[in-house]
Amino acid sequence: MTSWISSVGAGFLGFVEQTGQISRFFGQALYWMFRPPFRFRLFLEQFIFVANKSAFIVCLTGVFSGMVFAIQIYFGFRIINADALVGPAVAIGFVRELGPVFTGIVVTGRAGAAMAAQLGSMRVTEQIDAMDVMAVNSIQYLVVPRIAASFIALPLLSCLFIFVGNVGSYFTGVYLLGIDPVLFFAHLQEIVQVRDVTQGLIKASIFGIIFSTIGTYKGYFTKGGAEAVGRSTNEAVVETLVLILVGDYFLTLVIRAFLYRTL
Amino acid sequence: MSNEFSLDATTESTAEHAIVLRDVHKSFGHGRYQVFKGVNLDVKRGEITFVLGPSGVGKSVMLKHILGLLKPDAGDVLIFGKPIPYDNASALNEMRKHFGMLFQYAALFDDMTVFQNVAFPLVEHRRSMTHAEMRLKVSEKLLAVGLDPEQSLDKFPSELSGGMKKRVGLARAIVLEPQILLYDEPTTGLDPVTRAMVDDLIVDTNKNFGLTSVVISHDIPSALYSADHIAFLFGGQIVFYGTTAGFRECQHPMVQNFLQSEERHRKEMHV
Ligand SMILES: Nc1ncnc2c1ncn2[C@@H]1O[C@H](COP(=O)(O)OP(=O)(O)O)[C@@H](O)[C@H]1O
Ligand SMILES: [Mg+2]
Repeated sequence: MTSWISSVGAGFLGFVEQTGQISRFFGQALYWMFRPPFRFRLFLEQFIFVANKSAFIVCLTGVFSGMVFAIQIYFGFRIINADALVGPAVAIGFVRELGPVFTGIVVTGRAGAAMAAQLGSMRVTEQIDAMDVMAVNSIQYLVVPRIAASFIALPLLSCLFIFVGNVGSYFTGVYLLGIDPVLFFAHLQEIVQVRDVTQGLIKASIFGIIFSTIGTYKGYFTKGGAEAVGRSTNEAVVETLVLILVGDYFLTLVIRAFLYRTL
Repeated sequence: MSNEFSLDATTESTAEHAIVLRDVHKSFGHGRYQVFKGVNLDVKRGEITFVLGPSGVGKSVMLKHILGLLKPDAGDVLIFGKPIPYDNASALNEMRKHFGMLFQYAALFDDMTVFQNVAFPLVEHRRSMTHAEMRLKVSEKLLAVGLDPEQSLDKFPSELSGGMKKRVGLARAIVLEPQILLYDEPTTGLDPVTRAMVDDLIVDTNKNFGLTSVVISHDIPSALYSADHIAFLFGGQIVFYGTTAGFRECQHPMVQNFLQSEERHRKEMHV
């Protein structure tokens, strides 16, 4: 009993300690982000890397998510004869939640894992030490471009996800479920407002920071040999996913309090 | 306090020692594990100094202290007579430009060609240099470490043998014309032929570029071949410092032990 409690306690302390370390790491990245030299080329490389690595899978998961949500919502809304709201309902869910969250999850598995693996292998083969010894700040060179690129790329990928998701929803609604194509998005503008889009974009940007910060942190502080790189990658993915899903709830509350002035 | 770590003519001529460690103490894990208990070492300029010692005594930790990557809990590290500017990031970087380091497995950047690897410090710190000038400089350094630039410039590290990686790593280490060259276990895990090649490379590079070299190693034959002075690190202190001849005669039990196991190893290899 006591050992159970103490292990939970230790786990909690470890969690608090790591949260502190990751925040400090992010603070350092932020500090070096606004100090010359500005490494635009590295930023661009990372942006292309993140976008390129994930664009296809974002489209694929987006279109299928849109299709399945159209079906599920249709069978719910049909009961109250609200067929015409299937399109807008899917749209608002995608814009506010599914776009940022699903994109965050997909990109974590692709780019976040890759960041942890890249930096992890650079750490264990002393490439990061070599960089510091050559008087090049490794946080500025390796971490800053990845976080900055993810911060920009994730909202864009999220928009892509939302767009193809709605395309999927439209075609399923019209051709499979027989909803009138003229009605499908007729009420879109009444239901999806600018602040919903803002909410989605804020979330996506924050998820971009989360996955890239955890990915680079886990890689940067990898300790041990080649097998440690696998462990870092694994931890980065799991912890990012937990933080995105748990954080999304609290983020929603905060954003609603500011943008909607209501729960 | 001056903002830049500069090695002007006056400090250079007065400092007889390139590196001085004065009573350096260091522990890890909130004082639980004490690695250095008062390390004292003077590295004379122009010389090759080997720091020998069994695995895990803190040889790499010592290199990190010399580079200012770690800060002593107590004691001082002086580079050409000046204390390391730990609290000033730009001065610290300035100081590091006077160092070159060859890592155990060369630590070449995997995603860069040989040219990009060796040119990396130039791209970062010689921003006015043109691409053609860099190409010339890189080729010159590759030749100095015995590589044919024509054949190697566009190769990736994965296409190089262990010995070639070491050469490229050394070319990268000397491309900014440092005054001090550090080697972390340069011969560990190498075949005998490559080992001899690295030994010669250390001696030749030191001589040709007028450097001070510090070699961290547990390779006794290599030390006896290349070193001007040998230091033996054990139990958190330098327990021996002297010439190669003095090292053979040293009566410290741990040094004796170290020498004898090497002797035994060599005999076993011959039967
Ligand atoms: N950053 C660190 N944190 C904690 N312990 C460390 C750190 N760096 C080195 N050590 C410990 O210090 C000791 C000496 O390590 P090292 O200098 O790598 O030995 P070696 O002589 O083989 O190069 C080892 O026991 C190592 O675990
Ligand atoms: Mg070592």
